[in-house]
Amino acid sequence: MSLVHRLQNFISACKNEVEYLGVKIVTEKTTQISVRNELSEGLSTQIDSGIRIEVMMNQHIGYASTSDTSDDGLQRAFKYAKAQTKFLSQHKAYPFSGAIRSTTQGVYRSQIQKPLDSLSLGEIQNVLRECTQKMNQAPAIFFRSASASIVETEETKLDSRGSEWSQYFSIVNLDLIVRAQDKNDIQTRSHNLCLQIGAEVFLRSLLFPLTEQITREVLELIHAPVCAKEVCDIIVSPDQMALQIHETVGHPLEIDRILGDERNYAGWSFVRMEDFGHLKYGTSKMNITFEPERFSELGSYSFDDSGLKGEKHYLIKDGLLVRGLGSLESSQRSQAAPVANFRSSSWNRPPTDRMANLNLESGTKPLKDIIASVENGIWMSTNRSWSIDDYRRKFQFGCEYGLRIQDGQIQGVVKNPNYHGVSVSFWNKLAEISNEAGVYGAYYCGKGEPNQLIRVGHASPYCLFKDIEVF
Amino acid sequence: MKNTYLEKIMASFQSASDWVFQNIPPEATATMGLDAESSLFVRYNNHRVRQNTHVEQATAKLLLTWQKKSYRFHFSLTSDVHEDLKKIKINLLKILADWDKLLSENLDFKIAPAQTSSTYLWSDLDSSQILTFVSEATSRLDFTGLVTIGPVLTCVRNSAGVSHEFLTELVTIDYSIYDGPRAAKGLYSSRAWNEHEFLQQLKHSQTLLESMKKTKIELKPDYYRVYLAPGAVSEMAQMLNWGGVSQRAYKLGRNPLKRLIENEVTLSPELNVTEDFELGLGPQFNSQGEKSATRLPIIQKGKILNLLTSTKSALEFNLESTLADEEEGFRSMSIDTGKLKRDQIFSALDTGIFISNLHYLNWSNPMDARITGMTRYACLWIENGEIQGPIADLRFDDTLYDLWGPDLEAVTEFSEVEPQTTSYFQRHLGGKRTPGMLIKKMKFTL
Repeated sequence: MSLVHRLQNFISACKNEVEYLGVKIVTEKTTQISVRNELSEGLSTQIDSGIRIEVMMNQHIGYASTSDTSDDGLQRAFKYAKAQTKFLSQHKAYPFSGAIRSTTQGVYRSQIQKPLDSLSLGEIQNVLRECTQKMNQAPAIFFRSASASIVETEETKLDSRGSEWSQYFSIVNLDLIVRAQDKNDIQTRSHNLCLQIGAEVFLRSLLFPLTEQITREVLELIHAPVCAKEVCDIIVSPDQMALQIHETVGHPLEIDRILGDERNYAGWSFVRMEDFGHLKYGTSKMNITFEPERFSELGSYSFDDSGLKGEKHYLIKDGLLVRGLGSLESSQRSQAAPVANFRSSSWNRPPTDRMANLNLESGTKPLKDIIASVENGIWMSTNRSWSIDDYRRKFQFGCEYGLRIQDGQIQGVVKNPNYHGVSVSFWNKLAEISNEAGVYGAYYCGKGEPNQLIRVGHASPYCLFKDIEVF
Repeated sequence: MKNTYLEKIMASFQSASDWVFQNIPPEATATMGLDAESSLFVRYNNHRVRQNTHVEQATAKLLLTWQKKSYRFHFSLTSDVHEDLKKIKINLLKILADWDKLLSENLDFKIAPAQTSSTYLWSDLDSSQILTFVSEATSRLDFTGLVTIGPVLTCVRNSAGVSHEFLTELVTIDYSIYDGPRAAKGLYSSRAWNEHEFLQQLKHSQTLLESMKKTKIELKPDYYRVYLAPGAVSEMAQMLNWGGVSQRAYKLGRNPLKRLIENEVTLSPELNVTEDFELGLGPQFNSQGEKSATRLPIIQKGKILNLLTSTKSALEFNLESTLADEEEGFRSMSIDTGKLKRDQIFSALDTGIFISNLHYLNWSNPMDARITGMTRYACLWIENGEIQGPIADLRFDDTLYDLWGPDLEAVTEFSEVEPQTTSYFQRHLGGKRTPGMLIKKMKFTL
């Protein structure tokens, strides 16, 4: 009997013992291939699998997870879930109604051109090896690396209300890194691709131009002057904007953070519930959307762990904060409209409020026109250092690669560029956004107790911010 | 074995590893690791239970090395011996069939020589009793955090005869208490639950929170004299695990302490940092089954004495191994205490900032060992040795070469042990022992 059939039988037999019974099974295969200086730097496969049972008792939800998928393991997990949830319901934080779970059926699959297993491990190693070979352009370059994590995830959720949905994810996180030394200075240039994608990502025609660009740029960096300290304009590339959106918009808008669940770990939020509909988060050019159904981005899916269907919503519209990142559970607690963001890293962790794809909408200006409008500024690309406070106000970000712009012209490369600011005042300095966007993401977004890493996507245009402290 | 799940898992792990050792090619070597736990996680918000999760999980970790190539296969153990054996057979036979087509590495791996050890630190923890007590003791507080109860098991075996087992059963209460936006941090961790000790810890946090009642003080970005409490020093010392003491990171050009390693700079002679397994917070063997020295000095009198060097790095770069794990970070860090007495901290600080905790640190310029991060929790402005009030959080951006170099004025005569509390993918063992530090000046920028 298949595991899904056994789980259906289990739910039929046990559903009357609790107010709600849900079971999620997850199997994730991750293959990591790494090449450094044309030699293998490691090859691994991980197959992680298990089940998570969720029960509602006395209006409190509790979980038990196990890698033991036998009938014995399932019954033991159910026993733990029932006993602990019933016992702890006397101290529950909130009495939930049944509406925190949605009855759903359906299937989601990542849209890909070629299945990930259509290339052998040896073939992928060869493509990555050729990338490191391409980086070997000068004696100053001593570290050349290409690596990929290839992820295939299957998850199925069933529950006592007749829900049955499955999602199949095909993910690649690919890093190209080149490092060069001049005297005592070492500079790094890198490119990261993290997408829901198939084996088509390993096309040489895609990877070689990226490799050539970062190789050229690292050689520029080792002879470049250090970025000067000043207040000036900055143009931020989409790969750095991904982090800017993630840290200064995504996390502070998570409703479970605003409600205080996260205070002992990642922190609280400067945003209060009464700010929704009122706070001018940024200039009128700022439009941020929650878009879990967007094709190819890392955080795409059809259903969150509560069964809510993923739909696009504006979080910030024309600069005004209009909606938060709150699941059905957070919606009951806060009386705010929900989004489908109740996500868990895997079968062994409970779902919480997370980002999915959080995107900044593009504008109408070509990048060259934006550059031409800058009198004095720095164009920053690719994050290398990030830090923000526990309320998500004061941030400091460092980038790998900077370009000095004066009188509308690019004047040369600068190294070690950093900028800092305060979230809302920074977004209120957003002066222009380009008509072209890049798609990036965060392969590892950490949050929660117990700790969880989750994958989220960010699409963004190039952005111009005025009067920023750069150093 | 006191836990049915772990007992079944252990049997399955041994069966799978026996099969691997008997079926690899004659010249190949194999190391099998096991990480397993049976954990109850209870998350509190404002002294009420937000989420409870029980987790039984076990991962077997194979490292196969042969002909200058390596392959790792990690898989969840179900505890069904036949099912688990099937998983590893399929994957091992498939990879061996493709072995000739795989890219070589630049070293021949060396397997750990035969050794055995077995440590089982069981406790009789009654989770219901602990949770009832915690709920009642905190019922008048805005108590937020995580209670974790249960055993963690880690084992390594290899085809040369290594067999190490380490189990510890812990209760850990990682919490904050809040009074509006004011907050204080606490951590209780023990193998034997002690209500009195937990209450003492809670009382200490409340006293700290009480000291924050005064009006908040907004300080301008500038240089300030500071006292870093052990919790703040722990956050700063954690940055050493981001490549700072790693041989591999140094050889590959990403060690932020490059100038220290190359003797261009030295740190304060007061600074001694040791990998110290006498803390007893985790196993002395690493994931390769190698047993590290009980104490290995890393920084002594402000100079790097050793870098943490795995056998893999040692082979690649032709160096001596310190039997570090492949991540080459501290597993059990200890920073020596100094002479500053607890009751003299405020008077020695005189005028400056008392910093209980730091938050979200990162290297801001790795070539200069520059770190940025935020103040967090109970951080107080002190004038003439007297508390004036809590400060609004500040960002610092300064180099470790100054903070732990000429600006390190004194180290406290006491230290605090902080067990590892991170639980990404699984509960992690190990931890740190850190003292407090008085710093002449620290640069705050935002």
